[in-house]
Amino acid sequence: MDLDTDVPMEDVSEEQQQSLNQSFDQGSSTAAGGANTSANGATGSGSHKTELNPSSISQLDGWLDKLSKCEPLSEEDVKKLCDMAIDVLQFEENVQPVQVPVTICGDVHGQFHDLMELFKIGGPCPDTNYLFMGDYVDRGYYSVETVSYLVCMKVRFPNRITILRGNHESRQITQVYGFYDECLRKYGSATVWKLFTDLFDYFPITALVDNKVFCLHGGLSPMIETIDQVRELNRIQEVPHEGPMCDLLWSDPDDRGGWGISPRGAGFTFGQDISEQFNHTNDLSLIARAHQLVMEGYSWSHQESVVTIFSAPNYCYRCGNQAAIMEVDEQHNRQFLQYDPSVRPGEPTVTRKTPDYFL
Amino acid sequence: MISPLQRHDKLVRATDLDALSCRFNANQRGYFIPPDKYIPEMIRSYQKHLPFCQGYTNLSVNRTLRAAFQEPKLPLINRGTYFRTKSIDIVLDDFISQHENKCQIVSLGSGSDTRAFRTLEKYPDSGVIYHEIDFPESTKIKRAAIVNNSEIMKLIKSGDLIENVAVSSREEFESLKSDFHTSVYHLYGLDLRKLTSSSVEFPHVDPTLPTIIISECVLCYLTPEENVQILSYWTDMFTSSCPTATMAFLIYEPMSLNDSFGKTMVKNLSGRGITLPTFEKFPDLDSRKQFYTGFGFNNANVTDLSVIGGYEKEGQSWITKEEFNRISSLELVDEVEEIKLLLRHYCLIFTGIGQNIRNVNLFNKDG
Amino acid sequence: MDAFNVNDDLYPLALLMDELKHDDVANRVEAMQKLDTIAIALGPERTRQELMPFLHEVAQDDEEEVFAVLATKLGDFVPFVGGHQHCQQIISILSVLASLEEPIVRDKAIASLNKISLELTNDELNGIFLQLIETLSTGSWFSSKVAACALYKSVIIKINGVTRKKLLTLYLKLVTDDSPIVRRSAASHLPTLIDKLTEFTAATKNNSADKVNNQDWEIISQMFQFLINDDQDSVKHLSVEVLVSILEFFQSVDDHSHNSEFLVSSLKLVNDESWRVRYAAADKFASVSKNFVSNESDLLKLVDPFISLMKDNEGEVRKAVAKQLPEFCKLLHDNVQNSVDIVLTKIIPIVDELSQDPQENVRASLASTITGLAPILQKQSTIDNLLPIFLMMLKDEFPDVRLNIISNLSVVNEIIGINLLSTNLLPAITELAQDDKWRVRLAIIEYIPKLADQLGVSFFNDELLSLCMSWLWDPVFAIRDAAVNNLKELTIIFGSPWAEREIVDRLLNNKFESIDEKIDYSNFIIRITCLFAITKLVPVIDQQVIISKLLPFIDNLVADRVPNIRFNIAKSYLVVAQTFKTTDDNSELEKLIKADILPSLEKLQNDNDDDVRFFASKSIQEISVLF
Repeated sequence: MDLDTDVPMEDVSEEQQQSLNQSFDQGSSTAAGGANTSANGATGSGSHKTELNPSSISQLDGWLDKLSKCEPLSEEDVKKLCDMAIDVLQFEENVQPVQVPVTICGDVHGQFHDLMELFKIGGPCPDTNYLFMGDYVDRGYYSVETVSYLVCMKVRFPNRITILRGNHESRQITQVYGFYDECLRKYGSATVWKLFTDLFDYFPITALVDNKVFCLHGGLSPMIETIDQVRELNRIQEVPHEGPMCDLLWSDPDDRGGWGISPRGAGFTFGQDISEQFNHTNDLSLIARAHQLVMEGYSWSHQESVVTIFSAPNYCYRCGNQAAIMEVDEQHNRQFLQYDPSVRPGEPTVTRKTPDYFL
Repeated sequence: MISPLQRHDKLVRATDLDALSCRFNANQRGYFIPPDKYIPEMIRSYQKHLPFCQGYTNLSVNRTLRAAFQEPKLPLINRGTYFRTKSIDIVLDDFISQHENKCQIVSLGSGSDTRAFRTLEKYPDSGVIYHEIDFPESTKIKRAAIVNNSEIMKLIKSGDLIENVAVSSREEFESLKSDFHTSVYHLYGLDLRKLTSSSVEFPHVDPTLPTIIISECVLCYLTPEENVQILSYWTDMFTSSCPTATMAFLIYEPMSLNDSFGKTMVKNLSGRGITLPTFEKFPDLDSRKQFYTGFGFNNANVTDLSVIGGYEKEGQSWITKEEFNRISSLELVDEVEEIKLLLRHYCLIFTGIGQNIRNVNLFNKDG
Repeated sequence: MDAFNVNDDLYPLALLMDELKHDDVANRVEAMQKLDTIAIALGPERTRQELMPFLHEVAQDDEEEVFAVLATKLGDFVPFVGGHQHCQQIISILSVLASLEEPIVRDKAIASLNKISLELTNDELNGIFLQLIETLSTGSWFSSKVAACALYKSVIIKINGVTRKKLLTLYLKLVTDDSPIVRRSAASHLPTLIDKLTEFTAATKNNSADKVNNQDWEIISQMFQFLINDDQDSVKHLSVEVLVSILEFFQSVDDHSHNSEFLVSSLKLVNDESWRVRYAAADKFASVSKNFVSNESDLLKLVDPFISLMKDNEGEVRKAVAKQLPEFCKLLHDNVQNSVDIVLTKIIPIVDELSQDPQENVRASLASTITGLAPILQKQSTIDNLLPIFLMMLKDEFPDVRLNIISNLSVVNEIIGINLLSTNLLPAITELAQDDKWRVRLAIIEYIPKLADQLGVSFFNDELLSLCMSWLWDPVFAIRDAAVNNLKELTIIFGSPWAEREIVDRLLNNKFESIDEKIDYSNFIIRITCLFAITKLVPVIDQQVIISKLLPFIDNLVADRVPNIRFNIAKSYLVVAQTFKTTDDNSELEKLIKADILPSLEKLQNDNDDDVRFFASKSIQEISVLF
């Protein structure tokens, strides 16, 4: 055998590098076309898009049916789905307004069956409104099915579900953490990966629940003091290596005050002083974010001015943690619901690879 | 077809491929300075010989090797591999310098580890002698790698007479030599479980020399009884011939911490046919310290890899700030909580008998 | 595709080989699943010449999932290789798989081998298959011997008496093998072998030359003696089932001459030093005992051993014997005079102790069987002696104990009526209803309709109704959903007037006992759950209630500020219309639809929310099809 063959990573990295350079050099003009202006200027959800026609609806319902059994869509259908999703997502705002009641969820990471458990706990969409704070892909074995399902749900019920962008919804990270390989394995080419990562550029990066709860994947940025500044960003591009958009998707709260260097190598750590100032300035009651594994599924920081929500139980099939979601009702009461990995009796569990350990 | 016991041993031996593939990946990513130039030779030898090893077929060999070497490892695995390799190197260097380059290193279940060559390269023409012991099948693969590489041959002072090992059948592989001896390097092909007092002898091991015995994820696959048996074997060998002998054990292995991560690990590994008999019996640093001191060792210095990596308190890290920055620039480690969780479940223990096994500073940093 | 079909008839095999080289186990498993298609495409000759050798290599090293599929598939492979006369290759691959250590693979391979044995001629059985059994039985690894033990049953009654004796002698060697794992396998398959012989004896004529004879029993008896004296508990405990099979044989031929010896063996097992052996004896206690019913005094000799097992030091033993309680007591009841006295004076006091066992799983086990004693004791004794135990167990701190008592109450109800239990039943249910694990809560809810049926309406109203209502407000959706379904089931049981009074009026806030019970509709989840409940009741409640109460409730929510409510209103209207459609005379109802439902839906059709508009239009459309 020859170890040097069959490793397509380098080619892709090059292509990827190119597209990164493009977005750095030319802003988002290549990726977004004229869409970014409308995205920035949009005044409310649903105002620009056209209503779904009956044939699209039955197509989407069919796809949801298939996906709910954890069966991936065909490449052709993914293409159609992503085109439809761009039509919806390009009109959403950088700070997508969301109404209460809503159920806020953290990282899912391709753990499809646990996502189904989440809906058992929180109620099915569209009856329950959902806000997912990113990281749908990578690490778990069903990234394709997970992201297809959520995007499909988004297109079918755009007002019932909001899907933000996480730091894993990126061309670069998905090549390291599994989504790229999974697409290659399940479709035989990188086409589906390309379709989805191109789509990710359109995902909104933050949401604002009833003007009070600011939701995003990572955390705050030293370059962002007001929510309006987020609205001014040009989000439709690959997640940059630095700068405000990067920080929003990468930062973590920390026990130490002020800004700190993130051990992750991107984004910053921010202290209680920063969170409190931000909440005060923007008249917020809470920052809800995901991004970090927390063993109980949710965790308060900064004297309840920041909450971390993590919705992937037994993360990577290795960590043994609980998961949680947070319901926010019409009176802004919050309720956390914790849950364990889904039980699937009678199903062989071994068809997946053992997660890595040091042996 | 192979027997169930052989199959079990095959699965344990296969963990060496995991370790090698981890080192291969971390090395490719630039974690090691200087780069480990001996890894490719080990991989080549595996490629040549694995098809003739017990329990493999042509179909499964290709699959196994591709799974090991073609799938890139996650950054947290690379980083963990780096900490593991680096921390053992640090203790080893410390031991060698304490004994003024006159000492022995014995590596148990060394597999395709290249530390012997890296060490002999670092301490040329010194009094450092390196011994490696593993299953004959593993040492055959290693020996074939050594004799195929003039650089290694020079390092181990075997002249540069290259042997060209060409194997084309199981029988030919079976007949390969599994031992190799030079003035500074010894390779023994034998099953560690056969180390019962007096039955096996190591004429090349000098019990009067200060010695450090390394078990890097090896003893953890053996039962508590086998662990005791192996510890006793070496202890008896040294104490019986020299009452003031210095014999240290350096042990790196996983522990359960009795938490949900540990439970998940047991379940996951048993899915691969691997059991860790001491994993839950000695679930944490305290119980391990107790076990080794209870065994009669002078002291047991214990720590975990999360402490070593500086994930608990920065000041306790064994890695300098510059070095940490260097490895951080190699690739993004997105999952800080996860790496911390994983590293906490791996311990490093330095214990043994003799004057020099007191408290080792590294293990007792305040932070 | 044509190119492949015409020019490259190697294509199916090449494709399979390619797929089986795939790195992903899932792909290899999938490829294996298609094995029969490929064999059909290749035809028998090429399957034998090309596919089988290839599979033989696959069987040397792969993951157990792949092996498991291969093992299963090969069980159906006889036609694909051209019939039973060509089965040698299949058998040899399966024998490799059967000799593996993984139980999943081994069991599937053995099942396939046994399946193939059915297709073989007697000559082939006596040839290839016997050869296979002999080879595996005398193999050098324990795993092949382990596999061998499971194959004897396929041939044991298809061979002549001489060969059978030879085979039993070979089996005896497995029973006495050096490796405990082999002895274990031999011991665990021996009962099936004996049962086969029992079956065979019943079917053969007395004068048949191949009839099972004393020499055969001599060997089996030797096996049993070895097993019952084995120095490994893990082997010895299996002799209990062997004893059961032997007893059943002699029972079937009406031969009680050995009963006293067997009784000695039984007592030896019950009193064994090893708890695992005692556990096995406890676990099979009734099966053993029922073979001694021909003699009252033999049966009575088993009472004290039974009690000693109930008092055993080891919890697992107590747990196992607790399971035998009703069946053993029934044996006494049916075959012994004054049995009720024996049960009351000797057994019940120990049952009482067991109900307070320090181990929760012992109590849970007892809880699942203890109610079965009620029919034996009859009403008054049950009330006097068992009821206090039930009541205490309903207060047990471990949820499974309570759940097990509750789910087995119907038998108690038949004897004494359930009302006597009420004071303790309720707290038990209430606590289960609040268990931390939502799946425990789900289990109790799903049991409620059955319980309601037994309890009767007035008791239910007084004691359980408000609990059933409270489940509607559970934080977990799956529980709320089950609670809604429960209300529907209750309505079916207790009828529409009851549902109107007790459920509908509560949901509509027309009726509440205290201010706490008043439903706070300001919360979205509460509103939508009420809506789900009301909608679920529509098909099972009287029309007049729909018109007077449910429909107004639905109408009221048409302007709800949350769109999710509004589009569910649109769905509810459809359910109402569908229900109306099923009534015979629906002209009045059609008017109502026109006057009330359609205007509301039309309003919703102009809602500012897409989903509300969608579901409103959908309902309108479906209603127009209906009427």
